[in-house]
Amino acid sequence: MSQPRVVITGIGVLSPIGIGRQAYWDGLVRGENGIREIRGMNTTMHRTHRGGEVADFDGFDAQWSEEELRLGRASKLAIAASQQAWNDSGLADARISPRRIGVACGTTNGESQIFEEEFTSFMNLGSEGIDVRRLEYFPVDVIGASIARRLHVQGPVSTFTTACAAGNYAIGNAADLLRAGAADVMIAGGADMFSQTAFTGFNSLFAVAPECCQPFDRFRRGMCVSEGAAIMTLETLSNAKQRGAHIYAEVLACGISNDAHHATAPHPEGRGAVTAMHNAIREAGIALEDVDYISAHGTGTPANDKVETLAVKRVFGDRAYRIPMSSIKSMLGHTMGAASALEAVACVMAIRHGVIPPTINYREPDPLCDLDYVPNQTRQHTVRIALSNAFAFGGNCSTLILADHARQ
Amino acid sequence: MTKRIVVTGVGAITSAGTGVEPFWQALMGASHDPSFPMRFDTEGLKSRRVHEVRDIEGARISARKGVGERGMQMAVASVCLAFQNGELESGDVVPERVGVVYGSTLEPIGALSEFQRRVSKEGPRCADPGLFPNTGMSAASCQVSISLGYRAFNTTISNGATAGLDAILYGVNMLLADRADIVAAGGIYPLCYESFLGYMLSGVLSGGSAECAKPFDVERCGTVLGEGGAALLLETYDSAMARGVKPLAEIKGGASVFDPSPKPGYSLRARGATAAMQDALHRSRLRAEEIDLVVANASGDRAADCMESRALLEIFGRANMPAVTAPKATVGECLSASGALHAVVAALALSRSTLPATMNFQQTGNGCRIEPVQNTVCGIPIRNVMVNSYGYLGINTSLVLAAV
Repeated sequence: MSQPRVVITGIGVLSPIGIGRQAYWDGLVRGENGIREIRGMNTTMHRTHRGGEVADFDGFDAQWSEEELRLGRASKLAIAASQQAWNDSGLADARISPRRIGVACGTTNGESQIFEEEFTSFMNLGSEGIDVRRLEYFPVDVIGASIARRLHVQGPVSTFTTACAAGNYAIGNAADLLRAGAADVMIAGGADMFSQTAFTGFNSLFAVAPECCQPFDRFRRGMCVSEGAAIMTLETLSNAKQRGAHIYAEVLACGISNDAHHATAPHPEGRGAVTAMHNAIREAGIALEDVDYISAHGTGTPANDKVETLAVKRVFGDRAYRIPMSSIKSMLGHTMGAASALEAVACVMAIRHGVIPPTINYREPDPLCDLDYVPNQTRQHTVRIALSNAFAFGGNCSTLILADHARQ
Repeated sequence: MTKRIVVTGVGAITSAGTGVEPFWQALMGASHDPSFPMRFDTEGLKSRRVHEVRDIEGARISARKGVGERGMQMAVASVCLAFQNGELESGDVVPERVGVVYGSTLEPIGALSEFQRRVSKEGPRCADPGLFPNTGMSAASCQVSISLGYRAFNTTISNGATAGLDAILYGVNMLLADRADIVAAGGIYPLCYESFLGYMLSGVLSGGSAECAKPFDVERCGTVLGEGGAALLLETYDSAMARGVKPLAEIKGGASVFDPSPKPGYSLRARGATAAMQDALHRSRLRAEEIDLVVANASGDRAADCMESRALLEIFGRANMPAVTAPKATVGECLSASGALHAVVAALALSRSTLPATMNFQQTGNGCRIEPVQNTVCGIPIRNVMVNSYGYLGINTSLVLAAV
């Protein structure tokens, strides 16, 4: 029995290299480095001082309601991206019942800043120092709920917290619900604010690169903590066509798996990654030869990039050497729960424009990472089908497959 | 649904003990009042009592020794207990075809607090790298896969109070999509001083001399926090039959509806709560009068219980109100674990033909017009059970389980 096809009809983005879909894509195509001296926190006592931030977001005007002004930064990033996607989609004119519209949003750190600041107040002043009203906006379900409240959604609303793969899990779930007929529209993606806890924690693991993110480079030194949000409106193809929507691309499948290995290290043979890719390819009903581009998880850590390379080779065999595979984390840093959503948007734009964004900062090849990482230069390349990997702490592995919906 | 989905094992860690039997005995009326927590001091606070898991050692043993944080122990233990309950050995399953999904939202607060405390006192370069991974919301759920080897998928849903039921719905969808043969779906909430303090300061806990949860009662004045974990083993009916096991219950359908009120809070118009039950009935292909029992969200919260009362009356009407039970009176408000714990109650009620009583209830009122079961009724055939979970931010989820 064939299932409904799922397509993307609206996109919203906030990133360290641009706000808005077009500015973001222009930045990716320019190979812009979004990693700079961190301004939002005092890094004097930290080992490293650079990361990715959405510039000037404090002053960003998304026509905040009085209630929304009290929200944390992650919720606001999510709302801003969702509103952009909604405006882009034309759904406001479509008169779809709010009960048939749902939300699926991924995040890793949630409202990290609220916890850090209120806990510091508590440590210094006891419970009298806690802003109780502000605490209400800390539990992470506030992110999905805030999107739903902004867009007057009444369908299923979920916040996924599968760490650095959360965006893919949210998008995959959204597609599942559409195919199952549980909703007609899903607002899906990911959002994460620059988290001091994450910055401190990844530094404690010596996993943060001091200068820039260099995925697959022989001398790569780690990831760069970052922030951002990417949200898309997803609908069935038939509904989108019926209302005359502009269609960006199709969501073919999201394959997921778990390494069942270790809390932080990937399985040395990439078994979860291999399974996720195989699951995605099988569910998408495509052949290995159909994949034109791989958006890598490519964090720039020694472990991830080596294992991801190995996993891609295990899945694609010799063909792996002929598939361009770039990591836009080289430009954005690691935006955590937003990463795979931002990478999905990059794949969509690659499909639309026939252009693959580069892996920047690539200087020295690594013998253990010897695939075509599209080093430093944007490349013209027809992309009918793109595969986007996202791997997380705890062994969670996910692969999203996107396609030109009009492909032959 | 294209395939029938059944529950073939249940596991629970609650303040009543390790496993579903102590939980069930507490629901049957075994004495079970909230108490002063042993792990942190509530001296001088307006609310002081909780339903604390005392037998974490039992959980630790069930979970395997050396499984880190309290939440991880609850997650791993509840899955192990569900497997035992379902008489399933790890050798009976293909690990690549067992999936895990947990509702968990505030679980990392203990680890986050400890991490932050050390950073504040000693500086960021002294941050504990061993503790940092435990500050992630998916760490506890992932530990289930790491400890037990289950690899089909591992998902964490952080929807707050509805997360347990939402995890079950997610698990059902995964089985329907044939991404696993067996799914362990559940929820966890481990208590710590910091999250207790947050709830106490927000004013939702009952306090003073009458510190107990009185769902739907005229004198209800807030809830009592509990803690725990629960897991349900889900598989297709055909899979259960092929294994020769008798399911505890069938999952007929469920729905989640977001309430459109402009601000967070339990909407007294109850549109979302009503719609969630309506949609759940519709997807289960049942009429309201075919529901024999409601396992309520009700916790003694003034507004939430009022909202649910209104929704129940909208759906069932006064004359046809089914039996209603509210387990939070017994084991407390367990947040992301509650929905899963309540689904366990539903499965046990169905398989044991028993309507559990609701503790602490005397008289309804103060916005509520619901009289829950006050005396346990045994030997009564139950056809279908509605389970409700509602979140303060506006998510309303309902799940329908049926006798098999």
